[in-house]
Amino acid sequence: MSRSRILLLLGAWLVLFYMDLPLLVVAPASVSAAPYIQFPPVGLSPRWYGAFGADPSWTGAMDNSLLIAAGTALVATVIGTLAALGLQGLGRGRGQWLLALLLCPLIVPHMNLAIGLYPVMARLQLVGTPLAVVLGHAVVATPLVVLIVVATLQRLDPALGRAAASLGANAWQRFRLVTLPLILPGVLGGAAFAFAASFDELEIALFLSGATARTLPLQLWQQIQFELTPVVAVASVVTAVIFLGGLAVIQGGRWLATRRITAEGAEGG
Amino acid sequence: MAEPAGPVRGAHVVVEGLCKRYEDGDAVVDASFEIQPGEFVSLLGPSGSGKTTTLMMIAGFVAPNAGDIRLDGRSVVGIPPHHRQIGVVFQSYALFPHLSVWDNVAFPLRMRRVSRPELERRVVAALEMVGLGGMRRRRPSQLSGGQQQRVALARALVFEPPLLLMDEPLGALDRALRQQMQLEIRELTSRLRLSVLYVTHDQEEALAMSHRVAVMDRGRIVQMGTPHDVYWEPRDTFVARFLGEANVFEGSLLGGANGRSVLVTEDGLRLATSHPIGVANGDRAAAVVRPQAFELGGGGAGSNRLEGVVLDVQFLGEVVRLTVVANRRRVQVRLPASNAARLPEPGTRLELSCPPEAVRVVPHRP
Repeated sequence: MSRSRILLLLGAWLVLFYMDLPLLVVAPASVSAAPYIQFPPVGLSPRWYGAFGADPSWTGAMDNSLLIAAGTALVATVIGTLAALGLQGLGRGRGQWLLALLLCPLIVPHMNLAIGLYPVMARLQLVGTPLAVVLGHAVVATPLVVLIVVATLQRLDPALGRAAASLGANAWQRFRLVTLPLILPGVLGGAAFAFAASFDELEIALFLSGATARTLPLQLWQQIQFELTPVVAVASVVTAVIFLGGLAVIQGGRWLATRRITAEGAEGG
Repeated sequence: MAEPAGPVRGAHVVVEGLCKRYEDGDAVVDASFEIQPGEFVSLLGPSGSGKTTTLMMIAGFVAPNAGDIRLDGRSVVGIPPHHRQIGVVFQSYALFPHLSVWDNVAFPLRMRRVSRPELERRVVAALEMVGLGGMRRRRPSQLSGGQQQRVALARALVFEPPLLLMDEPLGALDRALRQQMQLEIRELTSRLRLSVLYVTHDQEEALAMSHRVAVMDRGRIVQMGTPHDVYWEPRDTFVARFLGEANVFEGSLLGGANGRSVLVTEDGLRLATSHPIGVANGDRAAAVVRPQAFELGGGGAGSNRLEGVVLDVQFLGEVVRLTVVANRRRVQVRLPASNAARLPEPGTRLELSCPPEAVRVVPHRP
């Protein structure tokens, strides 16, 4: 191996280590026996996991976050996918402008969005409900889905839709049997990003969740203001596990989808 | 599929005054032609000549601004593509990458809710027809270009459309495979007695495959006829140059003896033609002579003669191609290769001749 290659590998591993460093600190801290977050951890104990599971303010926040993130993923994926399909139909000129408008919430600070959303939700008497947080999070999550699905659609041969039409498929059949299966990886990826964007969002939740629909980041935020127990680290680890699990589910789903299609072909023959 | 030479299955297609305008100009201008039942017609032209747009309008993917398209007397303008019953083969093949060969070919039958045993019978027959019976479980990405082309063909034919449209279907294949596929497509479509509209920019392909060829240029159909007629009786210099090699001599026209017209070039070449012409005496015109119409020597009485110096000799297998400089212009000559032994070296002077029957005088078009 040449020296430049060794340097490159070393650099790459260093970057990777740096990116995952917070997780490497927080995971050991969560199994610490000490009453405060310390690094390196002192002793080894599962007690803070027990404390996390026994405290309804933590488990309730976890349930809220999962529900809200799932709702956000659903809303953002449906709207975002339809928007991406519509943009493609418009073509280059007008499509570019609309895409820029759709992506605005990605650039605007969440705090500004939250300030704008609050009076609207208050008027609708939704503040403090999970629905308000879902609708708020959908604003920041939908652009992510649009971006990913637009990119996926651009790699699709436009002749495929025409071919399906010439073979007798109507618009719905073309979408369900040709377009959707081919852009599904992009749609699922968009859903995963939407879920993640909602799950760790703080500012919008701060404004819209009130006392009743408190999310996990909000609970963390309020907790660390007066004590830094390893329960906080436990919450972080649980979050990380959920995310890694979700990633595994998506990968598994894609693998199964490929297998199913192959099996259908085999069954036909 | 042992297809009996049964009744004609192809549709009678009438295209009348078809126009398509885009913001940046006219794509198709007043295109009118017919396809007889079972006829193989090619649209031939350079890129941007409107041939693909014409095909897209017949398939229903592009709405015409004016004109009519009729299949067996019934207008299809305004009918969405999925109700037109027209088979289409695309340049990119457009096979569904997430479906197996079997599911690709079964797709149009499933759209038509064909019963399962019937579907299986027809998909098997269609795959046998294109020689891919053993490939049914493969994905398109696991097939060669030629195999993908055959699957696309089977898929476009399995629902028995009366008209098949093909858009540069062999463009992505190498030369040897292209020639083999030309033969196969021709054999298949004539066996099924399908009406075919075939779009290509490859003049050799159009001549080899078609009953009739429509040559398109800048949105218009310039000439339509049998390959032989379009090749030997081009209507203008564009058609002459686009279909194979042509020597084009520009000049003005003189009335000649015994009804023959003579074209005189500025450098004094005289070419007599025995064909009637639509150009008035004294007008600018062009004489078209195919390279293989020339022969060495003075020829018979009344032959057109020119003298020149051999610039280059190319041996092409079946023929030998000479570039001869006569009156400071280059003249392309093709001779049967069996005469190769008697051919002169570059630099020799020689006499060429061609009979007046081989000279076509057409209006000059820059």
